[in-house]
Amino acid sequence: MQLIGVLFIVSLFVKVPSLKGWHKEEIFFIFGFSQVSLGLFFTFFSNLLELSERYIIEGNFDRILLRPLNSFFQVVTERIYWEESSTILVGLSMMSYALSRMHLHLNAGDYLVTFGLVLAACTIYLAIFTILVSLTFWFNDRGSVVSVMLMLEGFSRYPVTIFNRVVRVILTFIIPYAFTAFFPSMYVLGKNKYSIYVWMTPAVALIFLSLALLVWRQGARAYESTGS
Amino acid sequence: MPIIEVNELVKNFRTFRRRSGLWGSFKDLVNRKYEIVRAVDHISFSIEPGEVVGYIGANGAGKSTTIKMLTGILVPTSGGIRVQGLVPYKQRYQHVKQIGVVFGQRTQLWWDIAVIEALRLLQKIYEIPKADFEARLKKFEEVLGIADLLNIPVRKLSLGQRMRCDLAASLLHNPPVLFLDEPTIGLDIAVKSSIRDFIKEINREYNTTVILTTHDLSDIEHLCRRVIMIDHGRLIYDGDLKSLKDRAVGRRRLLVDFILPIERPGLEKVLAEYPVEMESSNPFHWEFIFDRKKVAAPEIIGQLLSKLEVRDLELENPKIEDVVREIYTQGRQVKP
Repeated sequence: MQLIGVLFIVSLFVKVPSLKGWHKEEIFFIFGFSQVSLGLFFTFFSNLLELSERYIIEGNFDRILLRPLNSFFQVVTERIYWEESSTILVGLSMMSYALSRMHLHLNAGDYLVTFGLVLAACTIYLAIFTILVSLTFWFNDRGSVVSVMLMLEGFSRYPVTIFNRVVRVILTFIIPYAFTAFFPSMYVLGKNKYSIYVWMTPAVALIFLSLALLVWRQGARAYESTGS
Repeated sequence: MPIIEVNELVKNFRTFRRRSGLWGSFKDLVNRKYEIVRAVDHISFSIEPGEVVGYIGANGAGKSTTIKMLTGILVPTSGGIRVQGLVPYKQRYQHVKQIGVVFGQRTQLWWDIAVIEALRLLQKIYEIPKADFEARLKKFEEVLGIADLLNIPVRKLSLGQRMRCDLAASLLHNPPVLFLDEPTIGLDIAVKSSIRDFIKEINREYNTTVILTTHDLSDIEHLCRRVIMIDHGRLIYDGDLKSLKDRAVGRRRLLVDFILPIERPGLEKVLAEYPVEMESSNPFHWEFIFDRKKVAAPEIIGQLLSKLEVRDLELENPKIEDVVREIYTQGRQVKP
C-alpha cells in the first residue's frame, strides 16, 4: 500500500524535475520523513485504531477500566505491529537517497535533532488519531472518520506550499499534518525561512497530545459498555 | 460500617434509533433521534464486610449495569456509590486496586499470552510482593486445580478452565471485595461446584465481601444468605434467602412437548378445572406454571396424558422469573 505511493512519486519525477520550486530530492526527503514518522506510529501505536471495533463494540474496554493503569496507555501498548515497520525502512531509504543526491552532510548533532523531530512528528500522528478515535466513545462509529483521516494523511507527504491558502492554514493549525513531515524536514534541507516552524514542531506535538489526552479522558467517561 | 453503600443509584442509557433505508440513514446524519432507557432506577442498599450477597433479576433487569457502576466501568447518571469509602468512577485507580472482578461472559486476562504470563503481569500491575504472589498462586493451584493450565495461552482454554484462571487472577491481590458477574454461566456441574466451594473458602478465610449476579438459583442457595432482587431497574426485594424461598417454593413449572400442535383455547378447555398459567413459544411446546399448594403436579399431568398425546414432559423448580412474578403478585416488600 505504502509502496504504491512511493512508486507514484518516483514515476512522477521521471518526467518532472521540480514541483513549484521544490526539487525532486527535496520532495523525496519530505516524503521519506513522513513515511518514517507514520511508520513509527503504525508500528507502535496503531492498536489505537482498534478502539472502536475491539474495545468499544466488543466491550474489551471494560477490562481496561478494571486495571489500575491509565486507559490510554493500556490500549496503545497492548499490541505492537512489527509488520508495519517496513514503512519505516522505505522512508529511511528515501531519506538517505535524497541526502546522498543532494550532497548534504549531516553531523551527529543534525542526526540527533532529526531523530527528535521524527519523534515529535510521530507524536502528532498519535495525537490526531487519538482525538479522532476518542469520538467513537460518543458515537458508535465503525471507524469511518479514521479512514477519512488516513486518506487526508496523503497531504502530509508533500510541501504544503503546493496547496492553496485554505488547505495550508488547515494543515498547519487545525489538523497539523504539515508538522509531521514538511516543516521538520526544513531543518535538514536548510530552508531558513521555515526555521520558526521547525522549532514549533515539538511544541505542536505536546500541545496536541495534551489536548488528545483530555478528549480521551472525557470520552472514557462517556463509555457505555455493552449489554450483559 | 458498611463496605459498600449505594444510594438512589440511577443509570440512563441513550440509545440511538436508526431509521431504515437510504433516506433514513441520511436523516440520521442530520437529526439523530435518541431514546432514553433507564436501566437502573433509584436503587439503594448497603453491604457489610464479609457478606456474600446474591444480586438477582431476570435478563435485562439491570444487574450487570449495577455491577459495572460498582466496579467503576460506568459513570452513574445520578445517585451515590461508595465502595470502601471510595467513589468508583472518580477514584478509579485506588478503587480497582482493592476489588476483584470476574465476568463470566468475558475473560479479564490477555487472550494471546499464557496464563502464568498474565498472572505475572498482574503481579507487576498490582505491585504484589513476590512472596505473597507465590503463596497465593500455590494455593490457587491446589484449590482451583489450575497447575496444569499455567503454560497454556488463554485463548486455548475451555470455558471452565478459563473461569478458574479468571477467578485466580481476580484474587491475586487479595481484594477485600469481589464482584462476580455470572461466574457459573455455561459451566458443567463439576466445575460449578468447585467454583462455589472456592468462593466459600475465600469468604471464610479472608472475610472477603462477595457480590454475585447469577441466573442460577442454585448458586445463590449454595453461597448467599442475603439476596437483592431487581426487576426493570428497580429494587424489589432485599432480605434473606430463606424468606424469599418460602414465597417461591409453591411455584412450579411443568414443561410439556406435544406430538400434535395445540393452541391456547384447546388447552384451556382441557385444563379448565385447574388453576394453571400457560406459556408457549410454539404450539408443540407448552409450559404450565402452578402453585403446589393449590394443585398437585400429578393431577395436571394425569389430565394432560388422558386428553392429549404427550411426547415428553419435565417438572422444573422455580426460575428467577417465576420468583419475580411471585413477588409482584404478593405486592412489593423491601427489607422484611
